[in-house]
Amino acid sequence: MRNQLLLFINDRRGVSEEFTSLPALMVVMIGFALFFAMMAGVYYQHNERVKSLDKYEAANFVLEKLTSANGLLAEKGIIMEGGVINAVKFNEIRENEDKIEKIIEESGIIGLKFGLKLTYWEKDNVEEKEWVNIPSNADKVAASKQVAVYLNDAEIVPGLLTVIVWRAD
Amino acid sequence: MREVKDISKSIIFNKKGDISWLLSQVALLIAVGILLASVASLAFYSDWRKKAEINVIASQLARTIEATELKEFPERIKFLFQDKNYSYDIFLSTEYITVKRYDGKISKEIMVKKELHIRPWINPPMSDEKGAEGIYKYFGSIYGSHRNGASPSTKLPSGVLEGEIETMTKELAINPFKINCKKPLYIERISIYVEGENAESIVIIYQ
Repeated sequence: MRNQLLLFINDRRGVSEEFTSLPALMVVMIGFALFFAMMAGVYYQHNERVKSLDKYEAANFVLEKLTSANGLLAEKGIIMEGGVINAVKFNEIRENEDKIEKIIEESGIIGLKFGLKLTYWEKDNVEEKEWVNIPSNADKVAASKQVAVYLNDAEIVPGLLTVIVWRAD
Repeated sequence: MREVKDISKSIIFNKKGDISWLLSQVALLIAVGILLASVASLAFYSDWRKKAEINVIASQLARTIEATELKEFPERIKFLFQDKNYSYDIFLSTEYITVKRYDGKISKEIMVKKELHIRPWINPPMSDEKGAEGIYKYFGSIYGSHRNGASPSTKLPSGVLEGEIETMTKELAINPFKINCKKPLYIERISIYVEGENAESIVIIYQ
């Protein structure tokens, strides 16, 4: 064994001479590949981030537009004076697809569809009410806002209004 | 002839491996050359950076328009375009902001489209003045100053605004509004009072 190794090293015929640069080259190539894989990853992630930021911006825009003092929800009576959400009205509209369709149409928002979700605490129970038009399989984004929820004349409880936005096809 | 034969014979039956060494070195050089060239072309000669630059311009404008839409009261915003070391054109249609530049390496024209989530009134008809006053005067010149839409007591006949906007949509679909980037762009939220309805709030864009 030892003899054979010595033979390999001391061999002066130069058979293996042409491969001496290969190990170094391999290291450089692997380094290159890693570097570019990393760069590609960073670029991809950055792109994804920009895209998702765009989506969240759109969701926030829809939320702000709908909940502004003279916005559509105020017009429909879902938002009462002082920015309080009327849970009774909300639940009325929630299950009526025609009314929802109309609201989306009247909102003046183009290229996007949206649904609302209202979460509030009623006697230690968390109530989650969602519009029925929200699809389960679409690529959705959401933006939320803390609100007060009007249940009846005696009860106004804290809650969360969420707008869920997806692309209209 | 004999000499050539001798040389070729000596190359093939040569046991010193010179030619083999030379060939593998040349192959390696070519491979590395191709690799470096492809990397360099990706990094320096592709258009993604240029595209990203105009993408920023498009989204800035889109964001400003949408921010104007969210204003509660009529307000005018003056939007100035930055001086860049390249020339670019911006086109507005009802649904898209399109930014183009013409110094691409792969194809001359690089284009970015940004979707608007609202429908602004682009380049509305105005007489004498710019902005809301100009629009009221324009309507006043057609329907009389008592029906120009400027206040609750001088409401615009119903259907007029829809008609105007439809005309604009059709026109812009064929010829998008080209913005002169040397001049400021005005984005304004105005209220127009229409018969039988509440005040219509609309974003207008003009130069």
